Amino acid sequence: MKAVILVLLSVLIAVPAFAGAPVNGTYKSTDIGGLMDPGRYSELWFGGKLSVNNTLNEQSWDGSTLGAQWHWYCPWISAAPTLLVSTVNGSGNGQKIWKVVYVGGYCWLNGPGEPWDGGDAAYTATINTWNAIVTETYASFVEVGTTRNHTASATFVGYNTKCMNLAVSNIEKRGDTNGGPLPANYPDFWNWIGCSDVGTAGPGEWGDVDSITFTIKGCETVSTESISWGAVKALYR
Amino acid sequence: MRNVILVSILAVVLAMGAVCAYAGPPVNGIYKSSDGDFNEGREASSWPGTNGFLSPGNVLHALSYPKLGDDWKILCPTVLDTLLIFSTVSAGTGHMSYLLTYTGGYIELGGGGPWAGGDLVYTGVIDKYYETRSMQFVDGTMVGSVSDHSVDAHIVGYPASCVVFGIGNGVWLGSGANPGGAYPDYRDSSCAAGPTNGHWGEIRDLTLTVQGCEVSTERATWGAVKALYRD
Repeated sequence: MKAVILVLLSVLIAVPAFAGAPVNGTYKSTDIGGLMDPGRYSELWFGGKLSVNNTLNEQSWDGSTLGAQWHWYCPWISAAPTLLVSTVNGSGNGQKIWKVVYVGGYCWLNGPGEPWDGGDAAYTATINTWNAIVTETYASFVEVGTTRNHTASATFVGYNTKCMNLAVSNIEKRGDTNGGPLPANYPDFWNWIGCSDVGTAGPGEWGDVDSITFTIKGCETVSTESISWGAVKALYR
Repeated sequence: MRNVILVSILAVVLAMGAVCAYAGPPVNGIYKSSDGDFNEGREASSWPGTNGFLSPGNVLHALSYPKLGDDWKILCPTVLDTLLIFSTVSAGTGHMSYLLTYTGGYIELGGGGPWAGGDLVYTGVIDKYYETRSMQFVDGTMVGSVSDHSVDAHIVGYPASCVVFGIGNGVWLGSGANPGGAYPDYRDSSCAAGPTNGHWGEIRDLTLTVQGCEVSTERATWGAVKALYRD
């Protein structure tokens, strides 16, 4: 019985879940000269745009496949956004600038072949901060365009506590369900409650993600020491 | 003889009216660079004197691209004030976002754009210009930055209701000496070339709205013109 346990322990040591930490560095999206794919987003609405509980879903887009390289999902708006500036006049024309704070959510990165490939099949991280600065333009009281800055940070699962990533990116809204259904090749809507894919019905909005600067910092691979059969047996003598 | 002179004067007046500086206002509408309505662009912001990034006094110069300034120009709004919106930076790593308020400056819309109404160019006086700038820092060094631009302007030569307003995404690509060539030059507060230090990048994803623009030259009948010269 003791021998069986020892063999099982040896197998577990030989096949660790985390083969290698992601490679530290700063990576840029292809639209600004880097190797990382830009992406697309959807945001599920709970009552309308900029509402509490609205849930983001961002996925890489390589021109044919969503989410093959990266996926940020389920950060949600935790409190009513703060209006920083409004130039909208009595005719309903002008701009509004908002600060929006999201909480929760996760990050998933593909491993093999990516610039940050350190040996794992994939990397997951838990989002720590997510802030958006949202600029809207209005014509006759109707919102006719929206751009955003997104900033995010997350801590990788399974590695040292300082192993983290940071991202800053641009967003352009391309449509919402008030004007028609979610188009093909945009990410499904996700709901932060249960953090699950809830399909394409919405209601919500969608658009493009680009100008990404993505940094991986502080990651170390904790080496797994080789251990001989004799050494294992010695532990139990 | 008196009639001949009168007719000649009237003919000249009518001819001038037909070739006036303001041939037609820009066409009202909502235009998006992402839809291919017009070109996206590039920016160069000067840091005059000893200024650094995000300093009051910095001057923005942005032009549509690839043919610089063909579709639109943003000429020399100057940073008036900066306000920190939030910071998550700890030990030199994290994010910061600022709100920049600009003053002054002009925009130009090329007469060949989707808003074409007859003029060679439309000049707008900037009434309000804001930029939100979000930055990523690693160990005290900025490694990336994006921004949102927001502009409100009124068009010169047309009714006060004739306005242009819009938004766009910006991305920082570098700083230091102007890269030249395919980027706008650095400008000073009088909008003259000269500063040698600053940062440059791109402006994309623009939505421009033209609204409230009407014909500025009133049509006159021959009878109405003659009535002006009756004794």
